[in-house]
Amino acid sequence: MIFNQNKLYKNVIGVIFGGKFLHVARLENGRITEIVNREINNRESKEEEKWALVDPLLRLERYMKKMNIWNIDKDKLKEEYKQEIDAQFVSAENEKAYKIGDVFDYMYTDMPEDLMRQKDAYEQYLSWKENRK
Amino acid sequence: MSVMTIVKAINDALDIKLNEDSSVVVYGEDVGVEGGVFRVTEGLQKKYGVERVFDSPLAESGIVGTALGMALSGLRPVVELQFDGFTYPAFNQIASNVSRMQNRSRGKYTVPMVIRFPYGGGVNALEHHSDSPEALFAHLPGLKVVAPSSPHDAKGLMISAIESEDPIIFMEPKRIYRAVKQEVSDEKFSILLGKAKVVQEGTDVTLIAFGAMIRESHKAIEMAKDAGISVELIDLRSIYPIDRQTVGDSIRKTGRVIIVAEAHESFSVGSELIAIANEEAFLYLEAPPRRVMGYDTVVPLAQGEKYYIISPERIFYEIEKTVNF
Repeated sequence: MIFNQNKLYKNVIGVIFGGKFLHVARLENGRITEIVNREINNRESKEEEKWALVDPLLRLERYMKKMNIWNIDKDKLKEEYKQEIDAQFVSAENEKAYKIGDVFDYMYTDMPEDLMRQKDAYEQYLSWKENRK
Repeated sequence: MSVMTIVKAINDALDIKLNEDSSVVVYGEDVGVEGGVFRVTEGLQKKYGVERVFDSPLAESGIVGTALGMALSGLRPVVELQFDGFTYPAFNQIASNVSRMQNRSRGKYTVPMVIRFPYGGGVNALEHHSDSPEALFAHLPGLKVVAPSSPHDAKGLMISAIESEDPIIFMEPKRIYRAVKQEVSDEKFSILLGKAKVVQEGTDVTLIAFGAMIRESHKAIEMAKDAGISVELIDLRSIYPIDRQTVGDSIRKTGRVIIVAEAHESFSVGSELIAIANEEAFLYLEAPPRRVMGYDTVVPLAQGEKYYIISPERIFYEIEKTVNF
């Protein structure tokens, strides 16, 4: 979910909900400079304890431990993923400008003629617009 | 009279109907405690209690399916789907059951329910948050599809929608949810479903639009005026049933027609209106009917949305081309 002109965070353009974390991107001069992670938790711990008994991922973890096939360092993994997501977020937000082709070119492996016609018509409109100036 | 946004006007209509008819229930994702993702149902749970205004699980098919059961059992559910693109998980219930139940039961049952959702682009959103799926629903026999463009129409049409015995798809233009303000009566009033409105009279060309595109059309009409072109603007208000009479009368008068809508142009409301232009006004046409619509592509993400969104300038470009044909 992206909120522009978010009242809560000035200079913030992006907010991503990822599990318990709210990833907030700070914007300066049109570029993302920082990702802030804020922990959010609206649930009561009782509710979480109850869910922990049936959560399929936690059940799989318990099962794997029981079978002695668990070799994952969860905290380390979480930290790695968090860094990866933050890096991807910054990279995505700083992508180069979207081109017209990016709208049309990935819809089909071979673009139908009618879609080609629409793309051409749009380019004609753009040159009309340019000439009007 | 009060100054209202579209958000407030719909809230007001729901409030009036919840108050006067105990069979009305309102629910959906975050509709209760939070008052909906755009706060359209704000304050209603506090006023009418958790049994009549409540939060549902994140399951659109379940929201619509349970509403169908309620409608068949004597309630009048008004359900919210959070975004246009989240109607797709509910499509099975809508297409397989909601639209067919009256016919299936040979008229024994009616399905008095409203499915409301914000639709359309222009808000820099993610995928599934900018679609205009009116044609998908208008194509299904048994549904009525409504899309207001102003607070006044939003209130009057919502009251009619809740009072209708038929299932209504109520599409709310999210782009102008709070951008358009208007004096609206605090009293109860309704607007007949299926009637378009001539918003502005003109002589050279008919523009047909609805929802957020009315505002863009007004801006284009100002540009046309400067170029000496007189434009008639029709607000469709109801996608299905479509007001063939008003549309036909206007095209017979101006001899030219342009349809402005956000959805992909192929197999769209634009296609339908061009068919109507040919059926109703063939011998009056002085230029080919045209569409200013979205392309047959997924609505681009925020950065590329400017390529897809219909600008007043693009509408004016087509007006000029049509008049000079």
